Amino acid sequence: MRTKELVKMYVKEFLPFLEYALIVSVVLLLFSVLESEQKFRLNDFQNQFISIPYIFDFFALLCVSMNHNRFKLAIQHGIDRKDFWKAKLMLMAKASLVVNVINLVFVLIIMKMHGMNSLAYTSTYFGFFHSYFIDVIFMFITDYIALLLLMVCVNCFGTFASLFNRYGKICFYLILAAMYFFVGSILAKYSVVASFTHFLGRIHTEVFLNLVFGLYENQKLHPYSNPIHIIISMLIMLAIAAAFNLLFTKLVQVKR
Amino acid sequence: MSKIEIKHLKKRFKFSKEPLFTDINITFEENQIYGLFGENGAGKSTLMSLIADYNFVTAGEVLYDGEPVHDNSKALQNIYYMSQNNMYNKNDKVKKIFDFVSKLYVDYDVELQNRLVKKFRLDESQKFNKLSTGYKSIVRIIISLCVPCKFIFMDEPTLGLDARNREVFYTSLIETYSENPRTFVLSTHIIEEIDQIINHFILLQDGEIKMDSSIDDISEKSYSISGPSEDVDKYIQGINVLDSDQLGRYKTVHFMDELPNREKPESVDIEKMKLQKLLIYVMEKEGK
Amino acid sequence: MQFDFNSPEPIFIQVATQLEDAIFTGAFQEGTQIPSTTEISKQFKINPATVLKGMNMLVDNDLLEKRRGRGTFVSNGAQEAIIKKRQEHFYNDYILNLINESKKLQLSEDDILTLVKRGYDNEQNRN
Repeated sequence: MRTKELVKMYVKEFLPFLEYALIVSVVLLLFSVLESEQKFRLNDFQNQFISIPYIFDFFALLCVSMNHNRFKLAIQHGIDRKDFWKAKLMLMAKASLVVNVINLVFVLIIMKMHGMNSLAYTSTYFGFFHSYFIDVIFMFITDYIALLLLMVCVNCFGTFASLFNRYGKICFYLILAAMYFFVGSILAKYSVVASFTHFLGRIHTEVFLNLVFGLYENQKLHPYSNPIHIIISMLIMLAIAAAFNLLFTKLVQVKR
Repeated sequence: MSKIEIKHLKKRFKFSKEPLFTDINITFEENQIYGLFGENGAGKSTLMSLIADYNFVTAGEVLYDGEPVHDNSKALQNIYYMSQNNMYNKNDKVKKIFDFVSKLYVDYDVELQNRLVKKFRLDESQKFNKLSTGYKSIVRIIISLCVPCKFIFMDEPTLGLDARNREVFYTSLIETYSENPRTFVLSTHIIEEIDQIINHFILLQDGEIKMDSSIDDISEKSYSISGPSEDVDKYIQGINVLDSDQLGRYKTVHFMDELPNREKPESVDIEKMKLQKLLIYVMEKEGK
Repeated sequence: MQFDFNSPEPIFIQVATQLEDAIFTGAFQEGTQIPSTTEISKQFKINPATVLKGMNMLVDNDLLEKRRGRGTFVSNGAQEAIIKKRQEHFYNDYILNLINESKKLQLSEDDILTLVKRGYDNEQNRN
């Protein structure tokens, strides 16, 4: 099938980004060791280790955001925009899989090194199922969907931005940056929960946080939060993001 | 038989005061070789990119077998646009690009591709961006001739090609068209090389289609007559003349019409007006 | 084969005439295969459809026959058929022109007949 061949080519173009991520990770690790003036401190090395999964995530997102050449490759061979959108989603599904398998290895090492509180997922949700194996599986699924969702969003933004000319793009990115700082400044002033409270009112907050994120206020009753809630929430957001992505993709044209 | 119909096509680029086209109407039939002529900037490339759904129309329709081409998988699989832009990953080797394209099209003619690579003396192991301009065109040409599409639009295919490779291109085009008839639309502003190969002629000028005829029709209605000036004048009396040259008593007139009903004097020679000349007259006349 | 792209005569008719000439002179023998439309169009850089049109004129007149999968061949008796046709046209093509020209040069019918006899005598003498 034509779309599958296209995806194969996209995946081939994606693989070098993993190399870049690996190189950057190694370089940062080396720096963390070489930077400290005193003797080799295992702590620095271990601390730097935590950032590795995020580095891989970053390069995956970077790859996914640079999209116009993919479009040209598709349209040159008579693949219409809807099939191209499907190809993009397949690429992102595969890319997220590859990155998360790699990251799983690092995460397991990090968990051994630093314990449960070092990563966002592990401190919140790990342990819910009282089985190491199932917990790992759900962690994998959550991370997978989270990265996939981010990829679709980033690609959405990239596609949307490409619809504009240079000035439009600058405007768009400025607005995006402004929104980022706005949200960031609110989060800096109040914590995440307090921010929601601020906007939603106390009673609704609990229900909302539980429904969407699976979080429980009462730590004693529920020491671990339920990852299934956040998985479903993300899947819904994923569907919405994919729909917007299709909408924007249908508007893309070839530039000179 | 399939066909591509363009109806009342209008295209205006954003932030552009004037539209590029206002009302284009053409039909492309199957198994013909069209020559699409026009000055630089007339909009030949844009027209083709609209047909291949690379860009969107401002108004009007591009129909393949009656259905709009936009997001139409069936139409787009049968339309191939060889643009002047590079659509391939520059760092890939030529062989890799060919392999990729052959996997995307089920009936891609690999045999023809191999023959053409030899004829053009193309080095498949080269990286695409290391090729000269001419050879980049040749890669695009080879792909265009091997894809199993019914309508192939080639935008200035011979640009950058040396004389030998132009020859290879034309003979290869004729050969594949003869063995496997499909429609080719060649855009160019050099007429002399292809005026015998095309069988239909389209002129795009000032945002409009100024001519759209088969070569046979044009041949029957465009002549250059030469001879002693009195004989020539007598012979062509009543005919609207496009242009005339005179050297002493020897006069040549060019016109677009059927031959006059009178008997042709011995001293007068009739020739078919060269398409090149006809084109210049039409363009100049319409440009006023 | 040669083509005059400037002549007002349509190319497909030129193709037909040239093919006929080749059969007439025996360049294409009866029962043998003639070059394909592809070969002819490639060699002279003409649109294959035009070549085919000219070739089909000869097929319609039974001078050429298409054998499926093998190509186009000169029909048996084609040369004779052409000779016959040209004999019929000889009067229009040559005789009438001769008479026209002779009128311009003020030669009488007797003058013409004398000239014709002279021509044949010279032929005889050479042989």
